[in-house]
Amino acid sequence: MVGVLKALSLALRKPVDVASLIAFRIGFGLLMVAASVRFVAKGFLHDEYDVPRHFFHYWGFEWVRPWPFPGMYVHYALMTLTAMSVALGYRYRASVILFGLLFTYAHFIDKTNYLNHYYLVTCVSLVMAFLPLDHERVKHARIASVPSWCLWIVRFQVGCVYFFGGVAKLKSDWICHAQPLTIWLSANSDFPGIGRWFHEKWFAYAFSWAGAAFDLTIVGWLLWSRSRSFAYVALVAFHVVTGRLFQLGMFPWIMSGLAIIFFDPSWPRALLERLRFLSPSRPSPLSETDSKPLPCWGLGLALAYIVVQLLTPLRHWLYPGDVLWTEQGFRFAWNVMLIEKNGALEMSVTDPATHASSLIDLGAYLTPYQVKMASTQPDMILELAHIVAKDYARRGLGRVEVHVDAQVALNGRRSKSFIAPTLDLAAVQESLGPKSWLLPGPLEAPEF
Amino acid sequence: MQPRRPVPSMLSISRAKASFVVFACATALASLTPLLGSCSDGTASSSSDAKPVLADVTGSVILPAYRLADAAAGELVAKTNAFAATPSAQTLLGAQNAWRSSRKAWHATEAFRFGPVKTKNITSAIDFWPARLEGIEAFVGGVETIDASTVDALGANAKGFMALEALFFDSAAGDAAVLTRFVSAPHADRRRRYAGIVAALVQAKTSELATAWEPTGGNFARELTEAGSGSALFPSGKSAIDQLVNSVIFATDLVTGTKLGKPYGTKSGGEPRPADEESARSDNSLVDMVSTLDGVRVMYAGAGGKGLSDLVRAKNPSLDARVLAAMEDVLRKVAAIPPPFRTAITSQRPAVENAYQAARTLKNLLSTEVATALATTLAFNDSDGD
Repeated sequence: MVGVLKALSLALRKPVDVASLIAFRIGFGLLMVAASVRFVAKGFLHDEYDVPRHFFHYWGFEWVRPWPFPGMYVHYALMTLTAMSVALGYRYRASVILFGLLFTYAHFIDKTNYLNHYYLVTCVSLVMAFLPLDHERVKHARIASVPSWCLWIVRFQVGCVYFFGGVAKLKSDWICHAQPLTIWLSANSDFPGIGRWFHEKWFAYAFSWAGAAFDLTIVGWLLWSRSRSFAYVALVAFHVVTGRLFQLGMFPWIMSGLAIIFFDPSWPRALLERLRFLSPSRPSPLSETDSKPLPCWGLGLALAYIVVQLLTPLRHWLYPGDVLWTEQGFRFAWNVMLIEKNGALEMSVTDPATHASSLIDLGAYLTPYQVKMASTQPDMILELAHIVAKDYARRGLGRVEVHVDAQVALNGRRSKSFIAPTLDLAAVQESLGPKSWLLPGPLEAPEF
Repeated sequence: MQPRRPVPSMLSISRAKASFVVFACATALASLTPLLGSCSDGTASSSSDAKPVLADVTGSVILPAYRLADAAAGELVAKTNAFAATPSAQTLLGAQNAWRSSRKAWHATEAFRFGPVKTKNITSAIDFWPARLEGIEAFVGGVETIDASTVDALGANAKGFMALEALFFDSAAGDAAVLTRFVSAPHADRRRRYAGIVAALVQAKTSELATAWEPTGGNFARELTEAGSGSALFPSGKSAIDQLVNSVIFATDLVTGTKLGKPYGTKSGGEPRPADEESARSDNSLVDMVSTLDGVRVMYAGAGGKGLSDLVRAKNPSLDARVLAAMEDVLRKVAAIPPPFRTAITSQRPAVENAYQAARTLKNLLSTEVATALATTLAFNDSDGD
């Protein structure tokens, strides 16, 4: 065991060219600049922070709220500046830490808008905060190489998205019923070229299985130098097709950009030399190294982070029921494009004294997008029930019971009650424990 | 221990070069993404099933409905002018019937409230509800000149269908009282002029709307028929189908929650709310609901051509049959409510309850199973997903 750890420690200290990490830093920074500018330009900032009256909080993060106007605009301006600083390597460590904090804060305000690639950006920012990638150090060639753990921790982080994305697809709906791809493909049969087959069930199966195989193995193909070329072209083609089919925003671009970390660590240097931006007479890139031993606390921290990253996507096994139905343990687990789920939510308040019941106008509390997202997610329904109950109490209308009629259809099945209409949600407390009050999910197979 | 010093080799450089070539190819591939959309050969085999549905819905449902609404509004103007010129029980009945017909035609378009009707704010201009009787009477009884510009400048609650309802109907006092107001009551002449101008403004809006959709006019129809192949609004057939599905869900929800449910008392602890009835003065509320639901049914089932039903049936025939049955059920149950609706909400509650539950069933089917089957992006937002 000690021998293995020693060997691991040596391997992690082995110097590798810093060039690809620098390219990664520049690419990541520029992508984040583009993402931040796009977010504001497309009006998402207004839609997600100015318009909603209420926000759905992450457990334990109820204190995260949007700044009063124009605070969020300043927030995004700072985010853009720090992302640019990351790209330039200027005050790198402070910039990437600040960027990560700003980005995470912004996207922790409302779980309505949770996206896997937002979580990825948070993780990557956190990892990058520990890497020695500042411009000055690299410019003066005080480090032309870094210990290999720097490269592998980033590769691990990016690889998690694909690998656990593939693991998440190993479910009956995806593998045995080719859902939800059967639904999505046939709705997009005007896709150029291959769209003519999108109605075919065999094509949906082929797409599903190939998608799962791709996610599960792409990291290996990218790491193997002989297959890397084909693998990267396949990766970009995969993201181009899925980006064209689905509304994925920056996700395909971010993933295509971040996957360059699997390239040979020296590829940017060779490219610059070829383009004559670097002199071939420059000292060997790996002749100087800053390969201090990874301290014990650093190794422990890295291992802890890796364990957390490995276990978090699997935590849904701790909860009873199908994760696609309960969505407990669904977020922060690389469950990418797994469900076509729609709900019809009605919420009513009941006076416990008179038993008189009135439907709530959900639009008075939420935006249409929040209503759509809440209608299939139990923790959001519960938080909404508490928002309504508190609002009634605040208006002097006393304690009310809050009930819902929530019908949910999952991956082509008939709709089904999600929560017992008799349950008073105002009396249910949110926790990380199992939501035993959820009704069982459908047992039958999708209808098509 | 001294780290081993790797030596750059030809192999590592050539790998790096290869990586660069791959990266360049991949970037080129990614940059071709926008071009993919224009590479479609446009033949039937590559076009989606959405295309024929969109063509039929546009040509045999939406365009005829807007033409009919405009023609009915023209008839409303004619009958209103006839009544205003020679007020009598007969001409009043003619105006009332024209109002009901026009209203029916207008409600049949409620299942496709998108495009020009939204961008030109036409619904609020001609179908704002409820009308403000005090404001209408104040204007009629005032001294301000009554012409197209002064009436047009009034608030939305003193114009449109509901203002005409307030003028032509009085379910409490009866037609005799209405006639008196147009013949011998103070300001009867101003009332007659006001009615004629309000009707003309309604028709101006229906005409503007029909023209905006007509292929010979603004040709908004093209946005649907050329979705995914030239439409500026709908980059794909799916996005246009999304719009249609969202529109029928909206109309069904409007009937369920607002037209049926609210007066019935679903938002008031079960207490009936007559003030929330849509067309109480004319006792036309049930017809309004049936007209809206009929518009939903035609959008879904088609009118001699394809409809959303064809897309759903191709995927899930059982779901399609259930949706069609639910539509017939709600139409039958709304029609079974003994009129007028203002009394039914108190004295015929089981019938109203049946209709309300049938409407809920339809709304839930559309917004869960149909939306899922067609992969509809509900609420038509442009947020990202992954």
